[in-house]
Amino acid sequence: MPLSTSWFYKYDSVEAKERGQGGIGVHADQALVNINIWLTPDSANLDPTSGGLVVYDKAPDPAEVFGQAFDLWNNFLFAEQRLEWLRENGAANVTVPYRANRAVMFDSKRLHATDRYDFKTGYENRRINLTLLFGDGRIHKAPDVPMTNEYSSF
Amino acid sequence: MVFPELNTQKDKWNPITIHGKGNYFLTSIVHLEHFLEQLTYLIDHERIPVQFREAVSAAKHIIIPDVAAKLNAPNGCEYRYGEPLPAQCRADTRMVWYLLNPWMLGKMQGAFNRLTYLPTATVLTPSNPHCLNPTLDWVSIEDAYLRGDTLVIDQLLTPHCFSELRRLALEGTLFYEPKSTYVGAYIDEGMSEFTWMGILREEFQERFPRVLGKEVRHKPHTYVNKEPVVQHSTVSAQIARVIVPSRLLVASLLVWSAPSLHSPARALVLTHFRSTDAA
Repeated sequence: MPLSTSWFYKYDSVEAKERGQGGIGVHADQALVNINIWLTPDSANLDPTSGGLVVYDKAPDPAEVFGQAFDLWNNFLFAEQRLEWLRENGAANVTVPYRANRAVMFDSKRLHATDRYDFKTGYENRRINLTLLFGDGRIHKAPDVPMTNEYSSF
Repeated sequence: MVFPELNTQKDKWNPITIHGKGNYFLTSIVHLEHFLEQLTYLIDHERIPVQFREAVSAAKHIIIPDVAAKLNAPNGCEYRYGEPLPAQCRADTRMVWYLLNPWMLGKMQGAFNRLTYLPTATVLTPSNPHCLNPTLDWVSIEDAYLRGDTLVIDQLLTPHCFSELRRLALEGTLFYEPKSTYVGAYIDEGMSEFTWMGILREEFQERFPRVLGKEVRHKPHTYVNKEPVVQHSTVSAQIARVIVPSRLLVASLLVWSAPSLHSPARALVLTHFRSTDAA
């Protein structure tokens, strides 16, 4: 299964600190496997209980993730609708706190969001994640994996 | 889910209507602040010349205040980098997208959203042969994924690879995309040139054979020959030297995309050298 895309996201500490706005709201990513890796030293993180990722045990229908409805699913205007959908579907989540050199890996169709974060200001303290997305549901087949609310730490 | 209908006029800055990725003049104050912080970091670490301080100064003292004022027209907003947002400014001033004009780009010496600096990756060495931590129990990790668990993997990268990837994120001027409270760099906009990205991808595929399987790796190169090389010669002049670590090269496919004026000419002569020159 090929790498479909990869990115670095480098976050603003000021908006998160002053206005409580930071990171990415609830969304899915258009791939089969999602790996998030964190690259900022722990010394920048002012709250070791937060700063990571929230992963839900629910996902949109694959036809929506890999179809035209995908942009609507991820549109910031519909953040409330996504939260409502999660409530209606009895979603639970795993919240993974930030650690440097930690990875979180999950089915990319699962809804997920950046956890609240509080990082020091300054360029070298910016929260950085490296995301790798593997596979495309329109072309590739992923192993048939259940969607549980369990997590395993290694 | 049934979604409400979008008003594309009212929501003209909605990502459905306009995509930030690939639109290199689109920015935000959050994005401009990252630009000036990154250039300052590169100057301070002697990666780029001190003359770039003029671009930093322009972003800090001219462009950011100007963009803040325009976003808050007609009432204005006297926002300065590093200071709290004044009360008269709209609350989302730092996050709103703005299309820079040529005058603004000129003030920043053409350095804005350009590949000004890309760090060179160190090579694989016997002391640094991996990107993924070889001491992790990869079989158990893959088993847990196949059970449906969310995986949390600590000390994922070797210290050397962690350092290299962080260096790319700090130093590579690849963060072209403005987002609301973050900036984005992408594999198809320069990240792939950094060797460790390829190694990381390959090692994930090796470590998770049941989840990710294997693939034929591809990395295209394009060369344009402006002049004839050496004609009627058994050994052509070498116009470019490409060094690809053998572990990364599975297959090579060459495609010519220009019409030929000399149809019987030989297209390619492959000469196999075993390099003994470490330089």
